[in-house]
Amino acid sequence: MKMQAGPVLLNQTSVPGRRGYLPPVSELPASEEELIPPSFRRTTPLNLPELSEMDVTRHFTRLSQRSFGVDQGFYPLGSCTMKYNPKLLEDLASLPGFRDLHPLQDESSTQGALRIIYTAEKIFATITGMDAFTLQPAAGAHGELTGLLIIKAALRDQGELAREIILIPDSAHGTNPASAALAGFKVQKIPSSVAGIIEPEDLKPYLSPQVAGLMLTNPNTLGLFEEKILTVTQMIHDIGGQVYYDGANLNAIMGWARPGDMGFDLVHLNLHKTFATPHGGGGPGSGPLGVKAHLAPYLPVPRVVSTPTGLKWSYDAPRTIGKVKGFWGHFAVIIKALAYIYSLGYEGLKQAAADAVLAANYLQTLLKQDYNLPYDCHCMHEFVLSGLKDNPAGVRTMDLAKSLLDYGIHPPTVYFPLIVAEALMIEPTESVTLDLLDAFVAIMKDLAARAKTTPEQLKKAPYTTPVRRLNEAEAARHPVLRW
Amino acid sequence: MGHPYLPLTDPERRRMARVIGLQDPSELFAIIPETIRAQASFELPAHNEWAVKKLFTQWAAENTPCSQMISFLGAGAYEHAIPAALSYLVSRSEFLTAYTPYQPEFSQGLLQAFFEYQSLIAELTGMDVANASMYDGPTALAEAVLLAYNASNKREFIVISGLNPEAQQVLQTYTAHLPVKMHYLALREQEPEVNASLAPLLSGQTAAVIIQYPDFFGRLRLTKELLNLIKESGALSIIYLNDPVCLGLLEPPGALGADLVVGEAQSFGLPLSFGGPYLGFFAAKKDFLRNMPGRLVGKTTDSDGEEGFVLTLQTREQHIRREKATSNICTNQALCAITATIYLSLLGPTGLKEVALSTVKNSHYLYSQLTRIPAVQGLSPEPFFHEFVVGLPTADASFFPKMKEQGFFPGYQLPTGRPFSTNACLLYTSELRTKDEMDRFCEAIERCVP
Repeated sequence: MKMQAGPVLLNQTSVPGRRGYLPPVSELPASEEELIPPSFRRTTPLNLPELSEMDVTRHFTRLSQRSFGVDQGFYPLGSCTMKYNPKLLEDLASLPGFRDLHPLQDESSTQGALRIIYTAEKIFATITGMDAFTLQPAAGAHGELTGLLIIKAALRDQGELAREIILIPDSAHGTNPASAALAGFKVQKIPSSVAGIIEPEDLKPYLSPQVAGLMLTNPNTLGLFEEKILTVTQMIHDIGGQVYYDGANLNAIMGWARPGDMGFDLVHLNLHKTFATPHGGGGPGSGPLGVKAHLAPYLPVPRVVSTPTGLKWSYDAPRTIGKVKGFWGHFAVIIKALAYIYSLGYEGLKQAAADAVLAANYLQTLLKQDYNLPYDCHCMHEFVLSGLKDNPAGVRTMDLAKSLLDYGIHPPTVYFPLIVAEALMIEPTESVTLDLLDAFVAIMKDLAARAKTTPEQLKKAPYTTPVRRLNEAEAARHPVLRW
Repeated sequence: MGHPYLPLTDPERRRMARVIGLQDPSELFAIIPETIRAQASFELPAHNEWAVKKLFTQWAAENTPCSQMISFLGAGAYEHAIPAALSYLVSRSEFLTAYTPYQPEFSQGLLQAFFEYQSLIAELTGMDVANASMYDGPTALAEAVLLAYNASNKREFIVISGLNPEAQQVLQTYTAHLPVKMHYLALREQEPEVNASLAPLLSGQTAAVIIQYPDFFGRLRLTKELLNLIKESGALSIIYLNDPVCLGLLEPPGALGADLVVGEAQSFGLPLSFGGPYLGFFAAKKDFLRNMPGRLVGKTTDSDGEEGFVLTLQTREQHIRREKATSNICTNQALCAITATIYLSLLGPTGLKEVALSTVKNSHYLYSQLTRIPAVQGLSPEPFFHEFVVGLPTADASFFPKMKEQGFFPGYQLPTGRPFSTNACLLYTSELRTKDEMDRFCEAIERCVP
């Protein structure tokens, strides 16, 4: 006999009277009835599961075993930068001097924490070539929103609210247009050239007095460096616009090039990509935003300032856009990113970028024999394939992705960027060995061969995972979102 | 260079370069204009693990954490006991080092945990559905207001006083560029009845009314009658919670008729961490399902008919809908949501109720003891929950330093005039506070007063 195979939910093993934790309780004599007027008291039953500590431990251990992280194996998920998360970073963030710090403590009791924020802002500015940073944004998309609200506020100050268009390439992350819309802008899509980058000639028709700015990822989501970047940023500046750098791919060029020197006015960082803080299954991230001096007065408050009596919070910023988040940002994530930067130093960061780019080019060189490579040139940290070359049975990218699961590999990003048909976006990161890369190439070649010999097998993959291919259409048609 | 985070060796790098057809790996960066590359270097040496640990441990030692003190700080971030099993389970690297579950067959554990989180939040708040998390309470509130704005095509909002100032500031930032009108309904401290003041402000143009529960000052003011009044005007009710632990004892807003319930769930097992990362939650009536921001996990079946979980209703989201998405949120607070799920699983209904009741018992005891001191003014009429306002002798600049010296963080000093006039402090009493600690706190205050 086998224990139940399918998912067992927390509430299904609940037994009345079981306890998983005994919290400290107040010995004071007062009762609920004395303290809370009847009209506020809970009459609706509180249906939380009742489990022992062991039940809970086994449940979540089992859930963890049905999950897959960077520590479990190769995770070449393009654009997501699944590099190794050093264990030291977790230790540091959980030091009691950081972990048990209340955000509203007075500054005399938080000098070390303020020092970390102050130092991180300075180091991020140095790495990106910007003048000032805020650490408030919670994730990359939140950094984008913050940056776009800053552009909006600056336009309002200049009486230029007629500038309501943000230009965004068709290869951009979906967050770019969504953030622009949320900040009250209209989005104008810019087509990428046949070479996969923005050509100044192609940009010209979109330049108008209504343009507030351009958002760009560089290297872009095809993994290509925008080599005409200096001309492009100059063109936007010439018409009075701002240029925003989506920092999702900064990991490719850190130590080699700075967005500030390319002409960008605003930059967000994804600490959970570039600086090795763990993604936690989808967050928490952290999306600090840097700006050039002319936009610094608009940054969120408060700012950490250095005074003769130590570091202090300052709300003295009459042109600030306000706060974008409760308190000061994802402090624990910032500790981790800063520790990663100190560990590697300048040369190490530069080498990490170099290794990531080298690994991507190595894979691209060996995989383009069997897979379509629509932009056939050296790439940066990632590259995008467009399905199989020789594919008589019509095996799709989705089939390849699901088949990789049976080899114990997390598939690349699929069907993104949207401008590449059957896209497979591969980002090995610097956290690889040559043996691992060679093994991945062998598996991808094996898949290419099987696509010809036994395509039906691939179309039904995966076989070895806890569940087989899931019916996503059904989930959306009849949403079941809770027990 | 050899570094523990960089597995490739120099001979491997050279071999790889040759396969690509290069003399040297650095040629891959030749595409970046030389003028840009020339400016990129900066001074920062590499540090070994021991050196980094030493540096950060020194910085940590320059702080005085709540765990070394007797703290009465709350105001949006709450000290609670965190079970050992929680810290252990949530640090498992299958959770910690995973990305968003884009490949559901490889991520059933994560997806199930998010499904369970959604279920627990919906259950606690008394709502139909909850999403898989938001950045924090304040941004969750801002997104709820945007939902009401977009779903109703109305432009007026009423914020009832007693909203967390952090949430109010974030809301202002998110809506500054929109043609919305925010009315702030200031209530006098002693005013028992919200309805009478609210009624004249409600109109056919009111998109939503925002009420914090318990409010920022700990007061209990949310009633069925109030929500009915809002409903009759055609406006939506948005309830904001600073600390959902209170739902162990209080009637859930959903049962009172709320449309959207959002807030901050840091209390569910997340450490204070100087303000983040925390956990925003977002729950709604099912009518608003397709207007909701953020990720949703749904149940479905696989090709063999087995049950499983997937990210669902993704056509609301930015990676599909781009500028027409319901929100721009992508990365959220997944691991914090798992933390909350584990916390609630360990506490169960009895534990959660015990924690909530302990905080309320402590607050009422401390309030009664403090207000016996002549120099302390009681500013929180009943009913209040686990936070309250008292006037402390803070005009004396040495008050806070003196209290700190004796091992106390006496609470959060409220800005003058919002809405209290003098030396008002907001105090929170966690379940960790003992009678003895509170008695000693009162004695220390008496000693402070000349």
